[in-house]
Amino acid sequence: MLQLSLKFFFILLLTTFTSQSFGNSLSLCDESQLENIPTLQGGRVKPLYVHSYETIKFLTGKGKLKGQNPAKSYCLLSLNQLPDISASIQHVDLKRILDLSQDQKSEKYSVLNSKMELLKAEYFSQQEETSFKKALNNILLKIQAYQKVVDASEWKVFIEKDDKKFDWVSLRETKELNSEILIKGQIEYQKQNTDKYLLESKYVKYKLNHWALLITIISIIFMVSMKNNTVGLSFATLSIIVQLIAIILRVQISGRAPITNMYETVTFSGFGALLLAIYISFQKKEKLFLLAGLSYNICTLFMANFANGMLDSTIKPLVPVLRDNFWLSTHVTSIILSYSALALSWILANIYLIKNKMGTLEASDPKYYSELIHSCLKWGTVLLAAGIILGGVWADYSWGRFWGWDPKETWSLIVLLIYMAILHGKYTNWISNHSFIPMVAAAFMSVMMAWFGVNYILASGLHSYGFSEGGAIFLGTFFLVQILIIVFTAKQNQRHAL
Amino acid sequence: MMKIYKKFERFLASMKGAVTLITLFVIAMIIGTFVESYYGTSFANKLIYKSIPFMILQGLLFLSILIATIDRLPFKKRLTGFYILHSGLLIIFIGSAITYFAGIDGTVTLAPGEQSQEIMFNEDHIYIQNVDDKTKSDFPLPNSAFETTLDKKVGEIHFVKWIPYAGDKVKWKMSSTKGQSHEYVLFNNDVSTKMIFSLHDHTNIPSRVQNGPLTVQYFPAYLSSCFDKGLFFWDSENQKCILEKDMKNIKKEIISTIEKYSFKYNGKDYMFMPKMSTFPMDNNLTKNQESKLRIFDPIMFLAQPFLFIFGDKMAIPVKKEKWVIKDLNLKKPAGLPWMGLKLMMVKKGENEYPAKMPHYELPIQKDGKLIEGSKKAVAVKIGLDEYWLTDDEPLKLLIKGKRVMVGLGKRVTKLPFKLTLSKFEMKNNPGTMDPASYESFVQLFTKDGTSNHHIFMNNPLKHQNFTFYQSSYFEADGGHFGSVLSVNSDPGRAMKYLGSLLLVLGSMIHYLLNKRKFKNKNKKTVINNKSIPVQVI
Repeated sequence: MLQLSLKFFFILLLTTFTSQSFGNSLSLCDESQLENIPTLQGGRVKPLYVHSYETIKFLTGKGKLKGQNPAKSYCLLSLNQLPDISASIQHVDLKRILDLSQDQKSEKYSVLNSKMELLKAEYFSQQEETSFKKALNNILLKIQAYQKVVDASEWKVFIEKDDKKFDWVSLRETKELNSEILIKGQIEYQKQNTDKYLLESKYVKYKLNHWALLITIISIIFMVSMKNNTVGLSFATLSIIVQLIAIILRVQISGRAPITNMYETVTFSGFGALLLAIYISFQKKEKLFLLAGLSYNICTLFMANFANGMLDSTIKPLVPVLRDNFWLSTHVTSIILSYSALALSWILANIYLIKNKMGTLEASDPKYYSELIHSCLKWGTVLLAAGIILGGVWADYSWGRFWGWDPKETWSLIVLLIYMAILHGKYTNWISNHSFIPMVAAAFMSVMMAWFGVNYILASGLHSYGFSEGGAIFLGTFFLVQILIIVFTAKQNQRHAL
Repeated sequence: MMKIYKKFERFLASMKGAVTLITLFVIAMIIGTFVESYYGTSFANKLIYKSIPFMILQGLLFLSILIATIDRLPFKKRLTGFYILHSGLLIIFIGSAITYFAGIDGTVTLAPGEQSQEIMFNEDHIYIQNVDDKTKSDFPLPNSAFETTLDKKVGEIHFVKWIPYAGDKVKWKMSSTKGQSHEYVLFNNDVSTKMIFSLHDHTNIPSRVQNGPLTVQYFPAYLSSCFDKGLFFWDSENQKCILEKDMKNIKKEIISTIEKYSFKYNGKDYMFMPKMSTFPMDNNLTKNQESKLRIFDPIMFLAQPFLFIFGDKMAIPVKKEKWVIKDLNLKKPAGLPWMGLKLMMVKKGENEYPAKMPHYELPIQKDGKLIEGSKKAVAVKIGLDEYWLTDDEPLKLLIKGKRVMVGLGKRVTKLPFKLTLSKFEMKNNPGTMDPASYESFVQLFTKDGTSNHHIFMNNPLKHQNFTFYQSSYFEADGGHFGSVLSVNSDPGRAMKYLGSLLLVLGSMIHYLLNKRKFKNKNKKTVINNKSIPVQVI
């Protein structure tokens, strides 16, 4: 009898204990202040909102689950209270390995977790670097990330420890946790540092680059459809301002020039091209520059917003070599702006080629377009030469050599010399206006090679910091499309020349 | 002849010449970057960037710019930008040439707590050292990417062939002296590996091989008579084995579970502790690895999968209790007690022996390291004997009674001062293992005294004409870190900077300040020939 009552008492104790901790955790995740709690991730302090958004986006492909605040989803996930989430599965062979039907596009993490060993074995048995191996690697990384979140070791919180000192501790190591403890930690963190880290939440929430894309599209519609440029120009200016705010926010958050990875260089080049286009079009009183700038701006914003596999928008700490704001901002800015100018020439050249194919060109257009393109090339080559030299001076200053035939260095020189060869050839009329324009269109492939190809295809040497997947496919497609445009417009060109 | 020269000069000076040269230069560089990505940095440097044709191409570019500039003199105001830009280019070329011929670009390796004074360069060198009279000489090897015939004689040593990227290949060679050499195949239904062993005096092949968990040891044939009979002694001088019971006056003690054997053999005192080593030991328990007499207790090898081969015989364990000797016949597989494995003798060498021979291999780079062709080798002849010198270890030779050591390494010179690493620090990004910075704290010893310096990324140390940059680090014994600094002295630096400044300034004047009329289409200007942006430069 006594035994039975003891057992009953024990069960009662157990249920009260568990239900209480359960209640606590739920109230913790419902806390409205939760998204502003600081967390240490990958060497940087971020608000929980940003980290949650990035993690959930990485795991599920979407930043928000059913409209829920990502911080709440992340919190529930860490406490094992969130119903099963799924990873998107695209690769055909991966579906086969996981026994998915071909129209099933995702799989639950609990299932993936149990098949981890199988996936690992498959990954190691793949000798060649195929797309399947990359897909396996990608899903393995996601499962590992999921495991870390679920076992509560990933969420680092700033709390008071037993010795009354505040420090970063993973959720797993905490003895008890409630919103008061977290908010106390947040106040202490803000006292020791500032509340500047909260800016990153705003940056992620406002999605300025999405708005900028919309505004640029509206601007280009008005520019093309209306004779009066005022409305289009106002929208273009508005887009510039929105992008500038995004860049300034990023500088404020990261404390460095906004050109340290692929995402940043792409957005910056789009911004620079639009700015340059407005300047040149006012200087030369020519609307076409602006149209080219807007088009290129749409391309870059589109890539930045939607090509997440290739361009990672998270802010990460910088590798040691790049930690010099002066050289970083002068050398890289100069190079990226030169790419902007060359991109304008590329857009103009392609507009010409397509117009030529459609037969909507006027007799004066070949010379006229050549001149427009020539103005862009001048900016591009001067900025590129300056950028290469600044890079040389930086390399000399930090590595002790001006030039070392590093692939990124070599390719930037290749780009400059390709444009120099075209310009020199044109001065003597060795290259006519008819061949000049397709050449300029083709030459931009060298820019893409120097910009993306070195990291995604060559991937060796000192400069390859930002390797990410999907880049090689993007680059291949780009080359193919550009070559096709040149080939399909070539015949028309010759007839025109006659 | 003069006509050809004139034509060539005109071609160089012409715009077409310039475009041709630039195009060739671009093609070479594109190839270079792809070669580097596949075959590694050093191969690309040897094949393209530091090769003679590429240098000539750069020389021609220089000449082309020079003649084109001279052609456009006397001074025309319209071409101000052009003059500045192109003289900037010429000055950069000259500066680079000065750096190339008179500059220093090497590394200093600082082991923790040791003084260093040596700069190591990237060029491969041969060192010849006379061990007795301490005389030294050295010479550089050619900067070639492929196998190159050498014809260099230093005293009696004839250097025949240089292989900058080598891998090992086993070859059988004839010999006047006899030795024991065999080739076997170890196989089961899934795998098969070739094993070549030799005890010949001239071979460089190891007599122990690891095949997964199985260790294979190759022994002289005469040990097979003792191996299944318990503890024995191996006398390699007289090529025989002696069983424990046949060794005279042997004294056996047990000191805290370790057996100790001591006895006199052929006039020498020996002490063995078979559980600790097969080599004899002295009273301080130091092993004498030169000894011709060793002890073996075969029972000790039963715990792990071990296979002993004695040429035509092998020893295999039975139930982890004892060793049994079995015969091996040519081309007849013999079963082994592990995973259905079988062993088959495929070759028996009596008048020939196998030797690892370096051979040329195209290098392959993966994750910044050469995974193929990572060795360097030089073929050396002394009289009729051939030797291979590799960068792994120096060659010790006895030539006409003189001891000579020949080494293959990097070119090394001495700094006029000494350096010591007092501390190396690596900081990580908070909460991660990603490095945030590498820092070396260095002591500099000069005639005028000692000074302390702090070298880290973007903060080099400058002393005399040398600049030291933080380049890399390594883990030394005892968990301490050593640091690698790159050392640099660049007399061409000022010229390159001046040239760069002129280049940028000139191109700005030329392109951006030259006011040309831009024909706006909206103004409906008549476009005539004059408006074509043809600049005659």
